[in-house]
This record gives sequence, structure tokens and C-alpha cells, in this order.
Amino acid sequence: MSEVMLTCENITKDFGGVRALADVSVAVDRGEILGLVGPNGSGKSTLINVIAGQYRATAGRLTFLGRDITKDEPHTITQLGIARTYQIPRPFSTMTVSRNVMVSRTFGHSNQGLEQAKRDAYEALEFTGLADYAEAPVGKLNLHQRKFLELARALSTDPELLLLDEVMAGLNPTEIDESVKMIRKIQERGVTIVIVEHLMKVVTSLSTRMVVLNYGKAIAQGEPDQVMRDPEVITAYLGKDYAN
Amino acid sequence: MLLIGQALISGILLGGLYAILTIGLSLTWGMLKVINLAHFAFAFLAAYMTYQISTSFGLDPFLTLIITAPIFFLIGVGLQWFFNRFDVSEFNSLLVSFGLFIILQALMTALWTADYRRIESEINPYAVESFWIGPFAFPIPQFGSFIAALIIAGLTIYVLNNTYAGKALRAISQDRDIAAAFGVNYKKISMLLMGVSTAYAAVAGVFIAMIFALFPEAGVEWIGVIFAVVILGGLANVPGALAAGLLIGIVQAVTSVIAEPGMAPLVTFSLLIIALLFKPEGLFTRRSTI
Amino acid sequence: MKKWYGSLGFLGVGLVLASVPWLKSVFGFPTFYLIFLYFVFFWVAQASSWNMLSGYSGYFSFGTGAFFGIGVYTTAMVVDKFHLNFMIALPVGGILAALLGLGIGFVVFRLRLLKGELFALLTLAVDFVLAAVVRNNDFIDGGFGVRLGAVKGPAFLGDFSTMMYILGLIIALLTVYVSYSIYHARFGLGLFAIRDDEEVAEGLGVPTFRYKMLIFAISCFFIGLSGALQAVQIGYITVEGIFSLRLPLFVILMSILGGRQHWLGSVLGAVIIFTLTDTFSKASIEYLNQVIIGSLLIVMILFLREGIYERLKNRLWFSLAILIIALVVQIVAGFGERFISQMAYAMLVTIAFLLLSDKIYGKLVKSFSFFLPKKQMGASNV
Repeated sequence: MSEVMLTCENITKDFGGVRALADVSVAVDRGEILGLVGPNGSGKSTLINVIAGQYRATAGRLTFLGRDITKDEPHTITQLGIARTYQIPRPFSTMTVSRNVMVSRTFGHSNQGLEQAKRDAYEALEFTGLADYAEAPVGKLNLHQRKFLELARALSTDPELLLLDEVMAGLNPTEIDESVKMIRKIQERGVTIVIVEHLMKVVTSLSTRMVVLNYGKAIAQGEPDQVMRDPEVITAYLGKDYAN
Repeated sequence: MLLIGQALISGILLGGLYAILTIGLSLTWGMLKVINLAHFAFAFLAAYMTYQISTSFGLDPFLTLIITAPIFFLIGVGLQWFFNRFDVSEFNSLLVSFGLFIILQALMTALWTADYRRIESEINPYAVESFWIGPFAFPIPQFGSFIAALIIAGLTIYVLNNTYAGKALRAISQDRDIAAAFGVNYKKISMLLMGVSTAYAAVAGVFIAMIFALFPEAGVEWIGVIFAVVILGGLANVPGALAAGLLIGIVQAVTSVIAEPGMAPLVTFSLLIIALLFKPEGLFTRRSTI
Repeated sequence: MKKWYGSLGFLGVGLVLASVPWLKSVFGFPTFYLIFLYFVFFWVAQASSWNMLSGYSGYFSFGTGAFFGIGVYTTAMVVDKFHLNFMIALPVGGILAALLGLGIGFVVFRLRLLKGELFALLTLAVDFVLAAVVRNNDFIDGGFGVRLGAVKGPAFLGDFSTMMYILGLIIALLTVYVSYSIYHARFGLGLFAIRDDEEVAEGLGVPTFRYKMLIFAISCFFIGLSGALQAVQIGYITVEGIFSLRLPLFVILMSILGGRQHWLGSVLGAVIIFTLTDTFSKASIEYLNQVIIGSLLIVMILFLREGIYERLKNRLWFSLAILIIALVVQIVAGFGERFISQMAYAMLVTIAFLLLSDKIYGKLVKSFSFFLPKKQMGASNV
């Protein structure tokens, strides 16, 4: 029986008059890769932001490993073991690559002292193939490398749950393949993953389970095959005519 | 009661002067992302020049505008050229213009010394004259500044909404690159705006020279109040600047009468702090959706 | 990280500087130098405090005057109204300033929409508000100013100038040491992360609210502490003098000149700027001072935004050589009335040299390559 890591119960998020998430209930089990998909504007990134603590849910409850984190600040949530990456990489621009990782290693769930964090940073960079760039300023990295830096930063916090927000955006096929391999490697290390992605092939092949959002509502949950054949899901993406 | 009524009137009239100073600053900050602290130095430099020209040539202060307005227009154009040339960021423009402010202040001290300067009443008969409506006095220079504010605000609003230049400005303030794709020449239009803004400062300067005694550090005292008006009015919001100017003018005048003149800045800046905390886009601006 | 010999270094510098008054009594140079150095210590403390907050975290404060004012008026009240020894005012002034900082921070840092310019304006507004409060409160000042009579310190600190020198030195050392320690600590790393991208920092586990409050309080403490001592030096305290924009302007310029990324930057900037202003305010044309300050600010922002520290580090020997040569030339030519003025001009020349772009510097180094050890060639490679 796999353990439930994260539960979202009836999560609603309003921005002024706009309801971005409506009564979304999702559970994430330990060890799985949960694919979070949906058309543009369906609320995927919003849900990630709510889980990570950047946004406060308007209503509903979030539990992580038994603890209610609905009202927690982002830094607390990270320290509890949830890490996230950003769709558009946001490295610390005045720091070198390794120092970037030092920050997360020190302040994240891993909670290492500065000396140890510096040593451990190399490990994280090796895992993501960026070891050669350790002392370089982040300006020298291309987009793909920056995404891997995002990953390295998030991973170095020793997370139990990793939220990946559109890591594949803007990558060429080779880079996508490398990213997929990387994500599988991460899962093998025992990290549970929630992946938000537009590329259907990638998501359906990676995920053990999927959740489909549309207009802020969760319209389908389950195994990838099941979900992708669900008429409501097909309607959401392609329109009613294709549902049959 | 009478006292408060008079204070209200004085406040509104002075608010006009605040508005003149604010409109230029607010436009360049909101549209060009340039925070021009030197604006104050320009206004006072114009005031000093008005004083000098009037005193040396016996010219009516209002007429000195013929000389000062074009000069300061050109200065503004030059300043914006400079900002464009060095691609100065919004925050750095604050620091650079601060440096310029300091230099200009030194210039004013060098030319006119630290002594108080006031235009003699023979040359400036307006200073001591008012007209009366009932029991309330309307000092001429302040009244003039109020009318000027209305004219300037009206003119600016008209230009912004109904001319090509106005459209171009509104375009670049939203997205410079897209505006360029539509043929808007950022360099030219930004220099034009800064020139006009500085010319407005010159107009303010004329009234300042007529109403107040001048000394080199005077500009510093205005920085706080005018920034309060800029923020409260909302960036690049001309009607907002006018309304905020009048509001602050009233607040200052009434506070001076009910409490003490020294308390006026306290009330103004407390208002500013509250505004910055709860409605940083300005009291009179609608909050745009994300 | 290199903690222990860093601390030793500070101790060493402290002892050397502390011996100056004794050297004065032995070699008999004018008291003027003690006073000059006191003011250098004052500005070092102020600039370092400012940089701890604004340089490290990126939250640009224009409100130095407010916290300085609290320190100054604490001493004024303690001495003039409560008739206690001024030494008590020093820590109290610091603490009160820190409390104001915490109060402001508690309200302001909760807001996520607060952009850089708005924080700067807000702190400026606080300065004006406080000035108005003090001016209108008859118990504190009431617009009349406060005149501090002769103050007495402990006998072992010697005469007035020596006492001020030693106290100023202690405060400056303390402030810089704290700045240095934070720079090398986890706290500093978190602050730098906040400066680069606060939202991401928070997301990676940095407790941003707590850290911002902490650094604001520490910064304000030292500004107030140094201000409390300065009150004694000034003697006659007026609202205009204390809450003027001069203090924030200088402090900001010092950190910008020296470099906001490193703890040594504001120290360098303070020494240089104060030497310059001291020289030029004594010169016959008073406002030349202002012109130089204003121009320096503009030049630094346009051409060397990050300050001179990095370049000085990379071009260290060349810079020292230029400084010494400029100094020697002046002394030999009999130019400049005092040693300090000569230092000022030499500093200006060195700054001009540091403003040379890396390309030009590279060419310069190549042409001197015969005389220099291999190390210097590497250092010019940016």
C-alpha cells in the first residue's frame, strides 16, 4: 500500500473575480509520477503555486505527510520537503552556478551548513551534468542548462516531493529526451514527482497517474490510458466532435 | 469657520502649483520610466532666472516665460537624450538625476548666494495683490498658478487623448518595442515629453518666484510633498495629478490652520505612507488586473 | 569560512588604530587628525550599516536620516533632559532605532507588491514624518534645537578628542565586523539570494520575512548607535541639520562608489568620499564640494555601477602604484596645502584609473608586461 504524501482537498483559488481553481481534490502517493495536464489557462501552474505556498488557497485544505500546510509560507513548505522548479528558469544572477545550488542546499529541506553545502553542491551538479560549469556565472548557461540548474537546485534540497512546472518548454527533441531520462533518474532516487506538461507524449509515457484540469476543475484522474480516452478530456482539448 | 474657509481656498490655489510641478514629473516617471529628481532643481533654477530677469530688466514676471520656457524645454530634451544614450534604468535614473540636482543646487548657490531672494514689489505688483469674493481673499499669483494648472492639465489631457503624439506616448509607456514596430520613434517622442515636462517646471518656477522667497535649498523641501502628490495621483495620470495636488494643497493649508504649520508635512507624509501601503497605484487610478 | 584569521585581522587593525592617540602624544601631530579620523570612523559605520541592508538585500533605503535622528535625539534627551551620562545613550539610541526599523519592517515587508523605488520613497517619507514629529514636540526639540553642553566620559579615555576617537573606532570596528561576518555567513547568502530574486529565494527555503526584519533591525541599530555618538560631536542639534537629505545621499554614494556587493566596499567608499569632501569643503569655493559629489554619483552610476571594489581587487598593484605616485608627485611639487588634500587628489586620480574599461586596462598591462610578475597578467582577464 503506497503512502499518501500530499492531499489537496477542495482547493479553490480566486484572483479578484476570476476563479482559477474550483474545488480541486487530488492525492499524490509516494513514489509515483503524477502528470498534471490541461488546456491553457486550466489552472495547472496555479495549482503548483498553491501547493508550493506562493499562493494562499481561497478555500480548501492541503496536507503533506499528515501535516496541514494550507497556511504555510513557501520557505516552510520547502523545508518540509516540497521543492519546485519554474517554467522560465530563475537563477540567482549575481552568483555562480555552484553558489546557486549552495543556497538551496543550505536553506532547503537538506538544511546543511555552508561548508557542507558547498561540497554537496558539486554532487547535485554532477547528477545533472553541470559539474563543468560549477564556477561559471549563470549568464554563461543556455536555456537547457538553466533548466537543469533549476532541477539541481530543487533536488539539492533533498525533497520528498518535486513539482516540475513545464520543464520541457522551449527544448529541442534531444534535450527533451535527456530531460525525460533525468526525471526517471530522479524517480529512481525515491523522489515523488508532480509534473506539469503540455507535451502529451512525454507526460503519458512518464506518468504513473494523471490528473486533467479544465477551467480550474479536475475533470479526470487515473491511469494515463484511461484518462486520455475520457470523453470529457477529449472534448476539453479538441472539442465535442472528437469525443466520439 | 472663516479661517478654515480661507484655508480651503488658499489650499486649492496652492494645490494648483503643486499640480503643475507634479504633472511633468508624473508623466516622465510613468511613461518613460525616468524618475527625475532634477525636475525640482529645474523649477527653482527657472524661479531664480525669473527673479534675475525681472530684477535686471524690470520685466513683468509672467513675460519672462517667453525666455525661460523654451530654454527649459531644450534642457529637458537634452536630459532625455542623455538618459537614452546611456540606457539608464528606472532606478538608476533616480540616482543620476539626484546627482544632477546636487550640481544644479551648487550652481544656484554660486550664482545667487545663500541669501534669500525675492522679486521687488515694484516689479512684481501681483505679489501683494488679491481679489476678493465675499470675505475670502484670492491672492493673484496663487490664483494664477491655479488657472495655469487647469490650462496645463486640460491641454495635456487633450494632447494625450487626441493627437498622434499622445497616442505614441501611451503606446511606448505600455510596450516600447511593439510601439517601435508600429513606427513610433522612441528617441524623438521621449525627448519631446521630457522637454515639455521641464517646460512645465519652468512655468511652476515663475509662480514660485512670484509667491515665495528663494534660497538654494528650497527645492529639497518640495521633493517630499510633490512625490507624495505624484504617488497619490498615480503615475502618468494627469487628472489624478491635478486632483491629488488640490487634495494635498487643502490638507496642508487646513492642517496649518487647525493645528500648526509644522504639522502639515506630518499629515501629508502619513497620507503618503498609507497610500504606498494600500493603494500604491494612486488614489485616483483604477487598479489594473494582473 | 575563513573565520579565525579574519577576526584576528580585525583585532590587529583595531589595535593599530587604537594606538594612534598614544602615537600622537609621543610624536605630537595636530589634534586635527584625530578629529578627521573620528569622522572617517563615523562615515564608515554609517555606510557599512546602510550597505548591510540595502547592498546585501537590495532593499534600497533613503531613510538613514530617520534612524540617525533617533540616535542623535536619544543622546540629546539623555543628556539634556534626563541629565545622565551620554554613554548610556549610545546603546539606547541604537536599540530605539532598531525598534523603529522593526516596526516599519513589520508593516512593510508583509507586502509582496513593494517594488524597489516604493520602498526607497517610503523610507524617505518616514524621514520627513519623523522630522516633523520632532520639530513639533516641545519636549524633544520643538524647533528650538538642543544644545549639548560639555559631556564627560570615563577618565581612562582621555581628553575629548581622544575619547571620541576611541568610541568612534569601537563603533566602526563593531559595525564593519558584523558586516563582514554576515557576508560570510548563511545569513548573508540568504540576503544575497533575496536581492537576486526574493520569490525564488523564499521558494528555496530562505525565510525572507525573518531575514529582512533582522537585517533591517541590525542596520538601524548601528545607524542609531553611531548617531548617538555623533550627537556629542555636533554639539548643537537642529532638526534641519539632522534630518536633512545630506546623510542618506552621502551614505548611498559611499556604498555605490565602493561597491555594494562586498563588505569592504562601503568602507572604501566612506574613506574616499569623506577625504574628498573634507578637502573640497575647506577649499575656497564651498559649493565645489557639491559639484564633485554630484558628478561622482553620476559617473559611478553610468560607468561603474558595481563600484570600485572588484576592479581594485583585480588591479590592486597598479592602483596602489598610481596612488603612491600621485601622492609623491604632489609632495615633491609642493602642491596642496595639507597631506589630506594631497591624498584626496591622489584618490581622484586612482578612481579615474579604475574607471578605465577592462579593454584599455588590458592593453596597459600588456605594455608593462616586462616589469610585472605573471600573476598580474592573469588578474586582468575578466
